[in-house]
Amino acid sequence: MFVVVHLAPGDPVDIMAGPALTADAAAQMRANFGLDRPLAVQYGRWLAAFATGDFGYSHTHQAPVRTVLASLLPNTLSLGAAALLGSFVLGILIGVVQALKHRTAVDGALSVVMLFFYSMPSFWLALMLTLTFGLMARNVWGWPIWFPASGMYSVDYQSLGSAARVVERLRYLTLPTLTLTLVLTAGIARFMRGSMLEVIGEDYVRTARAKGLSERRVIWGHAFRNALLPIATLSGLYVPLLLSGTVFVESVFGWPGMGRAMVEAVHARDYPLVMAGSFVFAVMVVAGNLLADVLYAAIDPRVRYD
Amino acid sequence: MRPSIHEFDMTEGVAERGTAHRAASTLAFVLPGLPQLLAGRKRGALALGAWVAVWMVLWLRWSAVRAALGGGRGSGAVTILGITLVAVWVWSWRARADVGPAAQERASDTWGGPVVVGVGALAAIVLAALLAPLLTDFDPYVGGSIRSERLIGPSSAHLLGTDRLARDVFTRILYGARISLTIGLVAAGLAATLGTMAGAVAGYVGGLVDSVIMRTVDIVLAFPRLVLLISIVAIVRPSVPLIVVILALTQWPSTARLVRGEVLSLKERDFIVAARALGMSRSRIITRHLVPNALGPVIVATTLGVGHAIVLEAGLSFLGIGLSPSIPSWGNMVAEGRENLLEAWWLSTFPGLAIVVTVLAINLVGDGLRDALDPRAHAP
Amino acid sequence: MHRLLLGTSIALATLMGASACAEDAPPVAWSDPFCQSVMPRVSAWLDSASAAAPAPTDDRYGGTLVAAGIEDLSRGGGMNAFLANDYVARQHQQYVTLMTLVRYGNDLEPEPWLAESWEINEEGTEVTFHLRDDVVWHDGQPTTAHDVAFTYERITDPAIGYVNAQFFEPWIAGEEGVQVVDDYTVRMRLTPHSEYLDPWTAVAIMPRHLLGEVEVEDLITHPFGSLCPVGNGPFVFREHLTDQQWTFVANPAFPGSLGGRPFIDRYVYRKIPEQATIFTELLTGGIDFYIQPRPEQVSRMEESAETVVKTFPSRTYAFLALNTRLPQFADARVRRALALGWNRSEFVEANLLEHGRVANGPVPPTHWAYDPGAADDLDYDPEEAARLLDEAGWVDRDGDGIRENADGVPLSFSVAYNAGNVIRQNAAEFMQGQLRGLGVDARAEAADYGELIGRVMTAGEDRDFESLILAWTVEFRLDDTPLFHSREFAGEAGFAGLRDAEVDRLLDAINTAESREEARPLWSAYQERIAEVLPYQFLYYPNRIMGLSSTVHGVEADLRGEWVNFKDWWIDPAAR
Repeated sequence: MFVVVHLAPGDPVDIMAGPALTADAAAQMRANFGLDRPLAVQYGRWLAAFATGDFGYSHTHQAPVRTVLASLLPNTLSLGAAALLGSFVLGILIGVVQALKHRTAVDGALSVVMLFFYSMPSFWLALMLTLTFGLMARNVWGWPIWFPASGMYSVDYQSLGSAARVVERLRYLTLPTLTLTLVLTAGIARFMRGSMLEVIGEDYVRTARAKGLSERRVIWGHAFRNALLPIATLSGLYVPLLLSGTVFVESVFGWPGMGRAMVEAVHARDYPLVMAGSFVFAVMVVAGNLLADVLYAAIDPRVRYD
Repeated sequence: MRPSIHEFDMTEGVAERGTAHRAASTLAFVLPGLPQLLAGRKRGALALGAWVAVWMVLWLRWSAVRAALGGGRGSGAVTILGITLVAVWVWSWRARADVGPAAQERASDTWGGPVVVGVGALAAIVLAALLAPLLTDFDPYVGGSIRSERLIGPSSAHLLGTDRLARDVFTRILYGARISLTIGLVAAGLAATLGTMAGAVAGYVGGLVDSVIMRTVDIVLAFPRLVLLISIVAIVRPSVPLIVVILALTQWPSTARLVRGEVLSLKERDFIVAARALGMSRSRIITRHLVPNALGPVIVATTLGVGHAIVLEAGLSFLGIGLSPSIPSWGNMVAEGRENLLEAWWLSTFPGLAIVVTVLAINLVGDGLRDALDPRAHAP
Repeated sequence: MHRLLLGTSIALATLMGASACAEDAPPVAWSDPFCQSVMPRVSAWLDSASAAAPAPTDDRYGGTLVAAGIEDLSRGGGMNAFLANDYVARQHQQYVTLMTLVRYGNDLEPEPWLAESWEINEEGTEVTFHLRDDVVWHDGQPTTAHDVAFTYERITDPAIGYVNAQFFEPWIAGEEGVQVVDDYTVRMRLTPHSEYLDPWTAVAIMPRHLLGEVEVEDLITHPFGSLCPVGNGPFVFREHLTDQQWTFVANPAFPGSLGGRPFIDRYVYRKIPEQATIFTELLTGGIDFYIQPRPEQVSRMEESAETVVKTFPSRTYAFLALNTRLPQFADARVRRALALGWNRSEFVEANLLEHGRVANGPVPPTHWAYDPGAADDLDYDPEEAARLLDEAGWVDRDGDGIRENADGVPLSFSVAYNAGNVIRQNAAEFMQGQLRGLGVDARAEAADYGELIGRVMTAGEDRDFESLILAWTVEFRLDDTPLFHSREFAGEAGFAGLRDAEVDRLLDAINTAESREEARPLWSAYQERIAEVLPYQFLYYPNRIMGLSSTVHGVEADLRGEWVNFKDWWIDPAAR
């Protein structure tokens, strides 16, 4: 990763250069940013520092990378968590409905609607949602509830009471979460539908029915709970998808998170931030996989890790 | 689900095979696809649609076709027009016998409704892309006067409006289809080939080879695909071939994982054990026995991968790191037009819809195939 | 089922509640030891200063103004004057939170600001500034001559790596160049220069008591600029949330004779990376100031009753740089033919609408040295262009529609531009279309900005580009030496690779001229000469555009910048 980023032509000093930059000053800037040494040396120094927890200095943010990560990561995580929650709730609901209405018009229609959103470039969906529920809702249709186009909260946030703060954060979170949710739901719904169909065909569900339990108890008490188990493992595997999605959503909604910052860091040749960001992303993906494995083992008695 | 044949039979008066067959032959000659459609074969609708579409083009755009025949722009498109015509007709003629009750049984449920819609829409888009020079009088790269024809909304002269350099948006979408579809198809195809090979070898050979391949896969998959793409693209501005390669390089590991899993379970099956006992070479076992049997899920994954590649290309354009903006790919058009969403909504809305419709069609097909192959398969 | 929904809502509420409470904790940035020591002092000073300040009487006082731009201010160096490489960040240093010694007045002549008065000796080698004694840093320390001397010594020290080093070329570097006469008087030495005050309108004074101990090499990476700047200007820095927003509040102790406390209570600069989103925010009242809208967006803002548009000519010119090291561009006649060969005015009219004009030289019309007569023969003239190409020996020899020279080199080149800049992209593509008719193969080619700049602006004899579109924003003290002087042929900015003795002579003469009167004819001659040798193809002078909420009043922006009278902006009381 280090080499890949450094292979890109151009360095931070080039990007800052203007008509009043002399050659001497440029060389000095490189030295002060630590960019004048050979690549191997730079990598060695970076690695050594990294091992001690020093992630280096981000020249685009004029701050230590640690500070940058500390302020951006929670934002990405809260958006990601909300989207994960949203898409699983929605996906599970739709999946169950589809399974119950298997091979009917409802099943087909839901599939097509989910696929429709899944087929959209997420940045485009995000812009459409902003225009509809932000601009049009407020300026043209005059709805009492409309959603702001960007940010995590308004500039008057600090002066609000705690209850008002929660409401405000939810309001600002709605559109970004909705975008990610709509894109991610298709897969989850599909998985849930399959899982549910399989469970409904199992013996114990038939037994439950035979025992004369109400259909409601059979579906929610037995089938649903068992069908839910395999879904849990899916949540860990959705981490990479989610992280890719946040790049677009953070851009459109001006959400100050890691995804957008990574793209900008690559553009600006902010090597330490790119490296540290990739590292954090990789850790999150691995953690997601681990979570999936652990959940799987916890749920399925046949799997044991020695 | 099959009332049509009865109506058809009733018009003939007698539900006798010979009469029906003769009538079908006549129909197949004039309106290919119709008898098959009436017989409940959904792909008849495709043939009929293609047939009608081709004649529509010939009729409505005869001047363009004539110009092309006279050596002008689009002679390749005319050839394609001809090939389509002949292919549809030949298929219909050869399948004319397939209209009896027995055929209905055979045809009843191989293709679900959504799949046919998906295939139909895709076929229409591919055809439109190929016939682009016949469908429009404009050039995708050179616009009209930027003083008087710039940023005009949809009108009769410019169906979907014009862009900032007074180029016709409809024309650019048609030509853009060529680029976007190529990217999607080739990237997914390449990834499938690479992934299948790697996965099959890893799964069958095992040991060190397996470790090396699967660790590579793990590493690539540890980074969100987009982050990987961004870092690669920052080094070189992608051209069409390059972006195809890059998309394929970040796609193959998931296919490899899929195939390896399949191969591992196939490996111990009797027919492979038998093949090994017969002394077949490893490469032969892999190519002749393992890969074909593991192909089902790969086909599904690849189909969905095509759509994914198209959407990703658009995403890269949005981030300003996609294809050179002068190339009219759909992604570029959507990304470029989004800045003017409020003043000139047609700039990004129509290419956006093109992406949605195409990818939706592809996903419908993939979804349908998956239902047919594996009802409990993983998420897209 | 219901339990699932309930659980979900509880989880979501907890998440929100936790983050809502977390906001009361001090910002992450304060974890830095420097900030930990500085920021509490600023808070304490602000409290006492607010208590001491008289209650505002005018109803123009009050309210919050929210501005939005696509970059975080820290991207351009934040409030660190030693690292100011971006126009918007520099504007905030000059007019929002820091102060310069002098500033340009409405007539574009230097006027007192931090310095009350100044005088220069007969020979033009010694300037003495007399500072105001009522300006304090936002932690309570007075701003004195020691701060000025500190800033001077550091910025002229080659070890700092100052991005605008060319500004201080005439000044004697280091301690020899500056002398503190008394706490509020400072004397500086220079080789005579006609625009000697200009650097002191651009470079803000930095606090010695906070940064004096910092090693000079570490100044451009110091957390001061982006995490916890302490200024002395009309607005006090309060908070910077990475990639999100900067918050400033009115300085209650800003000297009364400089206008006193600004009208606006609080100023928030938000970073929103997507222009379409900024526009939506302006139209839905989420922000009050959209910093640089696109020309196409202007009409919509003018139609709306909630928004107004202000535009002013900028100090920017966009150009197509030709790599004159290449055989295609070595001949000045070819360069001239390329300039005449496509219709720049049609392009500018259609793409900038009325918010810009065709450029013909490296001196923007807003600059005092601009000579409108120097380059008035560069209008669209395809016949003349074709004639020039024929004369220079570029004719189509193999019938492929592209001209070649006698050696068979085709007149073919790429026109690179940074991807994402739509106007430049349109320029490249439009040029491509029109030059094609002239037998010139110009191929529009997008590149990542970093990549492009890395290829082009790397010191060295050779450059890896054919032509590229770029723009410079010039200072009032214009100096093109790094661009066109043959001495800078291998320098970062010397990518056009011009070697012209006449240009060298004029640039040197301009730099040693002692007054504007002496420099003006030299500038005219320089502009004429550049129009002859054309190392750049000049494209357009864009206007700056501001999209404002109609509740914002008192905005008087001109080529000094958007924020020039920011402390006098006020918000409609009804809209607060």
